[in-house]
Amino acid sequence: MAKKCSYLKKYFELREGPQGLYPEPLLWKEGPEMEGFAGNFFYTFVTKPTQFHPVEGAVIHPYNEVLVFASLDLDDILQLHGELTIELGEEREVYTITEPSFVCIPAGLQHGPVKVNNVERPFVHFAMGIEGDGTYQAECIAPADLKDPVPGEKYAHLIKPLRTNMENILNDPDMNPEKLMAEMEEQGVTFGSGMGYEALMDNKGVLRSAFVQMGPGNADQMVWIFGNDMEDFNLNFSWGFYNSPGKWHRHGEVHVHPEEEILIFVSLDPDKPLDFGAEVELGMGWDDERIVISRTPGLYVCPKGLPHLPEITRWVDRPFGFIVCNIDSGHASPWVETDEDGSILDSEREKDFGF
Amino acid sequence: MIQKEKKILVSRQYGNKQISAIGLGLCGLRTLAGHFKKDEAVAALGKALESGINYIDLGFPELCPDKALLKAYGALLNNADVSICVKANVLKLTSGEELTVQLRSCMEAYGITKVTFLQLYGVNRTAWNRIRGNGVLQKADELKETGAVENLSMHYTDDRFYLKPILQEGIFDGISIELSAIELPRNSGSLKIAGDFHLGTVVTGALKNGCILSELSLKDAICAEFFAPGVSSVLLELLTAEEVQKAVEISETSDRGKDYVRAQLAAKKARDAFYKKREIQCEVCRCCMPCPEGFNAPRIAELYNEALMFDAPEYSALQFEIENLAGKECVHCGKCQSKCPREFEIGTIATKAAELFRSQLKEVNCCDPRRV
Repeated sequence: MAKKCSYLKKYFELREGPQGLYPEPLLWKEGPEMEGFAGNFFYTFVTKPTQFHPVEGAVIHPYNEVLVFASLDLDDILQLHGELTIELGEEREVYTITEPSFVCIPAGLQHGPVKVNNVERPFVHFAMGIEGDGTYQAECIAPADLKDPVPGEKYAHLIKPLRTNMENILNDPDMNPEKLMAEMEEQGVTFGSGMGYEALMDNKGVLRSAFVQMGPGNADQMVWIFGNDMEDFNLNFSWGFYNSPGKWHRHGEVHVHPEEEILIFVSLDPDKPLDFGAEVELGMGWDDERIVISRTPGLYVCPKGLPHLPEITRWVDRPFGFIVCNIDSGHASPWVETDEDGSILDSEREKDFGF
Repeated sequence: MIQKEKKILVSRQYGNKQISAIGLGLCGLRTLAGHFKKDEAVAALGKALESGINYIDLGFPELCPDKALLKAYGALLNNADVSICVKANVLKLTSGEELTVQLRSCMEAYGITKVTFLQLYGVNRTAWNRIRGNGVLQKADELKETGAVENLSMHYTDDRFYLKPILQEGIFDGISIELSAIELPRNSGSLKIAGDFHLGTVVTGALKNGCILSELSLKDAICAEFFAPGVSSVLLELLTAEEVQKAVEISETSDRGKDYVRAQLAAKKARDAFYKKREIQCEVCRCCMPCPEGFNAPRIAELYNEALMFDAPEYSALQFEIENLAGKECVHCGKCQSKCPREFEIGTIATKAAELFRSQLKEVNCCDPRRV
């Protein structure tokens, strides 16, 4: 019998994007393809000089969007190894990006194209459009209608480095490293470094969760961006490299969020975009169904209020990429009370159905 | 005799009918709150029928402060070729017999003889379980089988993820959801789910009883829903002929290519402005539930937020009454607050809201049993 939550798993296909947005096929989904998720998602490798978003002209969306330019350097997630420019505003202010970055595009802001001038080694671009009706929508500005590009500073605040803001981690009640480490210590977990919060995050803004035994399957390197880093967008997202089998969170079993999210698994190999080289399982729903994504890049749609986890990497042939895209400025994720076998207590459960 | 040529508005499939893409709601919250003049309201219906609006929702006549208004409406409806939707409030019904009584009462109140759509109003995850067991659903199905009603629809008020298992039962011919600039991101997904089952959707609340027009133009408020994929009709409670005229003109002259993106952009700005007025940014995740006392704190808190956003507590109070939320009390056990992911004092806020709504209802006085 099919599992109740199976339909919340979606696989990607390599396909042409919306007309004129990207020059080559890429991985992408709109909200209606993700069970009505209030957002859209695009993911592509950048391997050579190119131009996209859009291919020519500029676009305006009726929703907030974040454009991310992320590293594929498994030794240092803070190195982009490339150079690109992006045009922002009706003024066509041109900004140059040389490190992993994200660009906040408030609804209604004319933007694009992104011009990649130099690629020393491949990197990744992904985009998330949120808080619309989930479909990709754009008003397109033709090249002939654009003003001449100019250098500028007006929109500089929208371009930010792709690294974790330490304050957000410390202030999040569910992610505070001191709290997490206290919980882990209760379980007898010891730490090699013996330092404080730096054990979880280095002073450059990279979370090294697996290193400090948050969970053996957790990230080797990860960055997490919150809404207050993104012009108060109702979004928090992560980008990380994962290379170890095992449970991702050894100090808890099942949690919930007040807002929905998508958990995205992607390849880090531009030559194998449709094989992320691993198999993962996610506990979903009140009955702890285990839903598996294997090899083909895909995602889980996690409805708000629906318990999910544990997340477990069953096996991994090579490092893969993982993105959290959560429609909330913070990442509130309280644990749900379970019995000693990890089953959710009945008293926690509203008498609903379907899940 | 010169016969006026009836205009045909854009029409879309809903159930076994082609309905106008603008629908008219009668006896909605504006009426129940007394914000109408009888002659103007009747003229509005006349104007709507003349303009080609052929989907009419009869609202909540049991709470209407003017029963003569209902009869005047009915006289017009009986001479018109329209689809009539009657609501059965499942949040109050406890048996199939009560459903039959409510249907009959509504028809008698208006003096109408046919029902095109019987709408089960207020379906959510808990109500659905209840009506499957208490005979309401079975009776509704029977009414359709016997031809007493042509179509069965439901007004759905919960998260879209609980909609699929309901629709999988194959009972409904259409659904209705609340969809304004406020709910656009949250509820748009329900349009997709309904579309997967080849069902049309009537959207309500686009104008939030007129309150949304403080931040959004009428055109943008309508277009943001009118062009959303999967929408069959945008239901509006219009109480003057002028209001009808404006809505019809917008539906006839708007263009998806030109107006939809712009309308959504304006809707987002309006939403951001309204959200700043909420006391808590509760997204009704319901992690705080179940309540041992059955007190629906998240829904009451949501209505309270609406009262603050629109500075119109009377509408939230009426909704509080319609949804039968007054019957349970918070006992301040703190369980909900301990489970809230955002640590809102949700029980405290909902208790405050419930007290406000009860006092508002006394002022509106629509629940005076002498009026029923």
